[in-house]
Amino acid sequence: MSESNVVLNVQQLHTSFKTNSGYVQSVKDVSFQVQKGETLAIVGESGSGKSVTALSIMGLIEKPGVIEKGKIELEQVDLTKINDKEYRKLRGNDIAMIFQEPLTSLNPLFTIGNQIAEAIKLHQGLDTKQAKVNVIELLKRVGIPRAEKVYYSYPHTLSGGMRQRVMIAMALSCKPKLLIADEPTTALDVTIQAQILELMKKLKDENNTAIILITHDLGVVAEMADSVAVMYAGQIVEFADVFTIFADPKHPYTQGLLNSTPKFYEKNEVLQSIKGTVPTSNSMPIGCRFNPRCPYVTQKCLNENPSLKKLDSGRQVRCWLVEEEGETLV
Amino acid sequence: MKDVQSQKNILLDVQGLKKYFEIKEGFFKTQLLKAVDEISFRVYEGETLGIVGESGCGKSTTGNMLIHLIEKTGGTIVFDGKNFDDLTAEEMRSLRSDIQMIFQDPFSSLNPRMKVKEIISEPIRTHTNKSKEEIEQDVYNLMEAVGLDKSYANRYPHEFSGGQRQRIGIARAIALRPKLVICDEPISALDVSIQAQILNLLMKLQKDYQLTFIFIAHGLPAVKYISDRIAVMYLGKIVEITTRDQLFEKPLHPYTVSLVSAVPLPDPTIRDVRKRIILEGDVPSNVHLPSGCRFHTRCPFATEKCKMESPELVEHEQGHEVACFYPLAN
Repeated sequence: MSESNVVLNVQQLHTSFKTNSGYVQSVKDVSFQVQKGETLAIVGESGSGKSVTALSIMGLIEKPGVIEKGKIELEQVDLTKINDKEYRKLRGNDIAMIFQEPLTSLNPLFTIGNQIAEAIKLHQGLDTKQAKVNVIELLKRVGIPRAEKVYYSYPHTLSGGMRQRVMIAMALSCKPKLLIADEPTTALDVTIQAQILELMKKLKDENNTAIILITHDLGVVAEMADSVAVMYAGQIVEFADVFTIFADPKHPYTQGLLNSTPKFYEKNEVLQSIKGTVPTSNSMPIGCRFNPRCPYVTQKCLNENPSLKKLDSGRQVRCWLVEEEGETLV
Repeated sequence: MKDVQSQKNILLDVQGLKKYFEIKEGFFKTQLLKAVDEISFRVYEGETLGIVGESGCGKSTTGNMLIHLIEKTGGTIVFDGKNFDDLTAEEMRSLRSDIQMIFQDPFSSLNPRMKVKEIISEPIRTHTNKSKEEIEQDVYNLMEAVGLDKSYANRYPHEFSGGQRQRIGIARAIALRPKLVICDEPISALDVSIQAQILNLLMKLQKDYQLTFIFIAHGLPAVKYISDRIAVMYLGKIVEITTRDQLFEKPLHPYTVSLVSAVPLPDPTIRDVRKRIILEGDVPSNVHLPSGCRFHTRCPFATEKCKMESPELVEHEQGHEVACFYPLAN
């Protein structure tokens, strides 16, 4: 793919939070690119830094948090260098975000129509009447019945699935180049989750939007993603296209994650779990951050943290085993 | 008590169980919220019965009634040959040592001011007259059984991760060697790699202590992994109940079929070929229930009859009950 198709280019992002016991690095050396029309899934457990990565891109890291270094380029504009005013022009216009809990991300005091129209009026300079036509059109596109009525409703009168549709309508109102969806279906029931995932797929195909999908659910990843970044303890440990990662995971953490997920259609399967728990950010192990839980740990893993090594076919793995066995393993 | 057909011992026999809540609508009007509406099922000794359904289907209310945390509105519960209605308060109290519960949220279900050993020993102290030394030995044995180090006995809950806290909750639940353990969403608050640990621990304990489980969850993959038989609930009713393999290979109720097909599978190679039934709309409210079959508003196969009459849960073939006028054949 040509360089011009890259919507977002994140290079060596480091985000830290200042605490009483010094700086805690939540995101360490994270690099990835997202192309036009591509869905990148960022997978990880709590504390893996996936949400902090998203907030860094959105420019929503507030004190005591700070982006220490690295660059975040949205179509060649480095977002770490622009000021708040310029950021406000981008947010909701070029980049939009859907959050996990649709109830807390909608303002309970304003009608649905009012809240969606706000962004359209602000960024596209339409008047209230034109905006309303647009909003109702949007509500219909995300599958909300009786859109004219919902326009005047308040968030509490809608169900969880409907609210998430409203959030999606709002996020897509200005046809963003990049959409960040942070656990968009985690709070929803299974049958509603299926509806929302289907809707996101449809809208992506229509608008060619680049999507960053943050989730812990490997089922959702397999359903939606083109490429996958697996994060563990603030770092990307494996990066590959979705088919490669499910068929041939190389990092022991990715393998463990897949083995501990029920396959569902297999009979009498045995789940293998990863021993231990995710380290907290102020008690990071020395060396490879996965070493206390890794079944293949060596002396080297205890001393040095491996780098994210590029193998052929564009996949990347952060593991000494892969690094030492080299390309022969691929 | 023995089941005539299967020759298995019935541990729990629930018939026509109901729970209605009164809710105020306006100043003088009260409405009935039918959380659980005449459900009947049996649990055999040594098995795991899974109960699945979406939010508001009544699965947790059912669990709470079985452990007598909330009073039932109607129906009978016969546990181990004893009818709940015939018991005095004192007898009910001692019966409770045979039914224990594991809760969803390991953060709010443990008293933050109690040490681990006090939490685990509380049921032993309440229900038996064991000496201090015996209790201490019991606590250590239990901690070992659930995979916690003995040295943690004097710590407080906040010092533990979510998975470890759930282990403490499990140790407390099995402390009295109960006959029945009700697990209410025991893994949904945990990280993926920890979920498998807890599921495997529960299955090991079931074998070691000859426990019978009722496993309540909204996540089908976990329920499928652990259960012998599964009941599917929708809006306060059981719509289908059968063995695990039968439920996934030959589901009869349209709701079961759509629920199964809505689960995102961790395999990207089948995402485009898989047949899915995506339900339209939301779950209706428990207060204003649809007439006839409760599922008819979302059912793709609904007829006039479904709108008028409510189907009973009847045995379609041996060990496979379904509440539908037109059960799907393959």
